[in-house]
Amino acid sequence: MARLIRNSLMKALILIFFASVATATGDAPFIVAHKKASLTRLKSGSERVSVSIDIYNQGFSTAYDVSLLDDSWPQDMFDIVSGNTSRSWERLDAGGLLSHSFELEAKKQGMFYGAPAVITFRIPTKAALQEAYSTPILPLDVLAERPPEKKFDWVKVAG
Amino acid sequence: MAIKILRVFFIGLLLLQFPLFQVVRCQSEIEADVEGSELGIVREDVQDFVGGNFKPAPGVETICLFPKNSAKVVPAGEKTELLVGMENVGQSPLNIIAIEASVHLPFDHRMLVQNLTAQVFDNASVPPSTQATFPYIFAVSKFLQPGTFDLVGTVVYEINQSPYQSTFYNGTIEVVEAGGFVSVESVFLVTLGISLVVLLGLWIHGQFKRISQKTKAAPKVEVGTGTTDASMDEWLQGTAYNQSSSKSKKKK
Repeated sequence: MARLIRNSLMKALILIFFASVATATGDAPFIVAHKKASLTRLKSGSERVSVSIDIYNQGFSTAYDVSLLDDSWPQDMFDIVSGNTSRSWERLDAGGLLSHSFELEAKKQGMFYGAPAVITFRIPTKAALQEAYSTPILPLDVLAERPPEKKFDWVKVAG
Repeated sequence: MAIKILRVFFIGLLLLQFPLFQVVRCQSEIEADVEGSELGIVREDVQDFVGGNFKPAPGVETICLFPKNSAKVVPAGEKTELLVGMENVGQSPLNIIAIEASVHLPFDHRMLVQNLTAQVFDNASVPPSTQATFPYIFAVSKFLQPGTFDLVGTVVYEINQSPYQSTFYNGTIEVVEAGGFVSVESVFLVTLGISLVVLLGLWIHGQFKRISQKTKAAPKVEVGTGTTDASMDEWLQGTAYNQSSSKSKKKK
């Protein structure tokens, strides 16, 4: 009697498991891209922007021909110092992570509002190229005027 | 006697404190004004949408990811970031209005611990057949006790001027104490631990010595530098001592 109940319980559980797998949200990749930009002021007075983009695949299947393109940095405001604003990979498996970073030098002063980077990829079930946008970045205060250094005050006190 | 008095004193002190004990009560609702970060100018009609309860739109998928933080550790009082992925499977573009979240007790979902600041968006839209990611930076109150809590995150958006709301996360987070490894408490505890170990070692050492002394033969009794050999008592020749001993010898 107990064995019968256990067997039917097992069958019910297996059924529920398969049903839940079938109704799981999609079998496509879900690209979550995180774009971060930080400012570094060099001793020479120039300002560098370090941009890093992390691409996660939170979906259930592989994304192929993943291509990243970040056109949100206009040529008249920024110069590319190292790296490239675009990159492509062959595939991104489910649960995987791809990273890319590059550095820019700022030319113009002012507040800069960056647009998200665009990631395109292909999936086997659809012919069209899929698109995903990364996170936007917080406004950057490029080449902001820094307050005068405190150390000059010490010289005044000593002298 | 002194130990007895001490014992009575301490027991008396304990008994005296009983009426002064108070059970610690914690506030179950902490409404803190936490700083959020805004990405642009705020829409005028945002207040109509934030806090309302709308249904999720069909054809919109959401996902939540804690970047580089799979254990979902949230230091109390410090900024934590999470990413909200939105997929617009429909035909019309989607406008994100705001992302809001709240912290609840894990065993009773109705008990609200803290409402986190909503992040409003001015010009965030997701075109059809596209996925987009939005950041949400939040900080729980720094007075929140470390432990497991429930975080409920929802995103409010509109499609064709109709508001919708989706829950992108309804699960647990681990709140931990912010702060480095070296703190007053940890330094004190480590020093106390070391001193206790040293004291224990000294006591064991003393016990060993006591035991080893017992197993030895009867300790040597110090007799001084002199000897009791009668033939060495040359200087007593001719004195009363010598005469008495020779007398007793004769008697024998």
